Amino acid sequence: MTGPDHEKFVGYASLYAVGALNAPERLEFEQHLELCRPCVDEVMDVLPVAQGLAQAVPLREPPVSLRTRVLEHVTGKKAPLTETDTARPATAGSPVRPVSIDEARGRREERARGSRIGSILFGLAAAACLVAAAGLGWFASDLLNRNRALQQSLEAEVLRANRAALETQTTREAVTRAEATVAILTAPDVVVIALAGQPVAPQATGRAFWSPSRGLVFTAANLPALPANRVYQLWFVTPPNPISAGLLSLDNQGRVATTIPVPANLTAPVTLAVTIESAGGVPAPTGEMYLMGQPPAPRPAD
Amino acid sequence: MWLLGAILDAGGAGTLQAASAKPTADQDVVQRMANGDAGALATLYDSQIRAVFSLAFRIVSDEAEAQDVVQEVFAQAWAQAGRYDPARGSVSSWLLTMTRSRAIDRLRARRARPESTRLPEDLAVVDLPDPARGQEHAVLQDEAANRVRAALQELPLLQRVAIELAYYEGLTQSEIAERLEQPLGTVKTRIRTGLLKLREALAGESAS
Repeated sequence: MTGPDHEKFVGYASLYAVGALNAPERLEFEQHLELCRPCVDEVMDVLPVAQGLAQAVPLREPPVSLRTRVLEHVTGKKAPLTETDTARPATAGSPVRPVSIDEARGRREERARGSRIGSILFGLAAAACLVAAAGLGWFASDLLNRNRALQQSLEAEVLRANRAALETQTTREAVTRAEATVAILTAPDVVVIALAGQPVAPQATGRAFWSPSRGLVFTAANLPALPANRVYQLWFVTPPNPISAGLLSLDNQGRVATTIPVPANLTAPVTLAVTIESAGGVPAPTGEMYLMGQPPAPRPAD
Repeated sequence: MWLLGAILDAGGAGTLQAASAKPTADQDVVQRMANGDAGALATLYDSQIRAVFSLAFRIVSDEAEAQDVVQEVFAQAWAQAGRYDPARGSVSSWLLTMTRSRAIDRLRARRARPESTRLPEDLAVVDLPDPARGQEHAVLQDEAANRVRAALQELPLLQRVAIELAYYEGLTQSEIAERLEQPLGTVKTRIRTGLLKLREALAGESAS
């Protein structure tokens, strides 16, 4: 049965799972979860996937010195040797050991006990579960355990498929481009520049996502079809002379989306413009301007 | 749902057995930490540091700050070991949840400071797994990571960006809407559709 005001919370389960609710929204939703079985189901569905995001990051090796610093700071005692120092070759990281049948059975029994007594939702206060009583806890735990086990059984298959895909160079390159684009769009310092259509093409629009640290993604739409032997050229409008940012290739609907290298001397976003030029491009703009936009004024801190 | 049941039954004890080995050991370690065993903290550090540090660095994009996050996370784990409840999730989830939370706090504090345009020192945005890597621990790490990473790459770009802005940059739905210049409802739908697709992608792989 859905809880009261359910319509208001459609889509909240996913936002909750990826941490996209602000504090009041989160509180409100957790109160709703006490009463709404479908919302609990949805959280259970997506929570393990969202938590998988924590592991889907590029692997980065910590400095060796960090271990001593952390252990001594936290416990106030001298750090003990690593397992690596005493027992195994230099492969720090997740130690793996074989598991016996007895151990595996013990673990399953332990998990079954844990399921009955505990709430499994991170961040859901224990008190919130009392309303729903033991039935919900069992139901939700069961689902989560099924999800977990399912994911475990998938690992080998997905790994194989993933590797096969990565074997072709074209896939690698496509992935690289997508990664670079995502990195720019999600950069903490990204600035969005809206480019407006100029009098020759008032319907044209453009957007630039410019991260000084990561690069520039440029998109445009509704650009008029080009006459023969003409191209659209993008410019960094810097005094005294604009610098070419390259030629734009349109799709058949007048759209473009591309990653643009930023010259090293441009440390902050500048005005961007698109002009029409002779095929092959020109060193300085000569043709009519189709799009133009300036970076927004820096925002005050919030 | 019947399908899931069938897969699980067919999966058998082999997969479950593999899955259960580590949590048991980890839970024991956390229990020893709750009793003040400093050696247990070292053991936990050795088994989890790469995942914790990698996530911290992914979020704060700064070596020194990532190290500070690691220190805070293990201090918190040490202080709260007695309150860890295995029924709520694995030890690894517990640590990574704390890691994300601490790292996002730093990111938000940094955003609130006006003079904070410090550049990330490392711009390596691409981390393709190297199929030639054969070490056991490296493969295990990549398996867990690749499962989600591969599915993420299949998502339409804006679904993926919305999810990444939420999870790794700590933006709320309203902030994401503003950043992407999209209505709030669209952002909500993108995140939801994206996560459900990730889940389906994972389930679909196993069924085939």
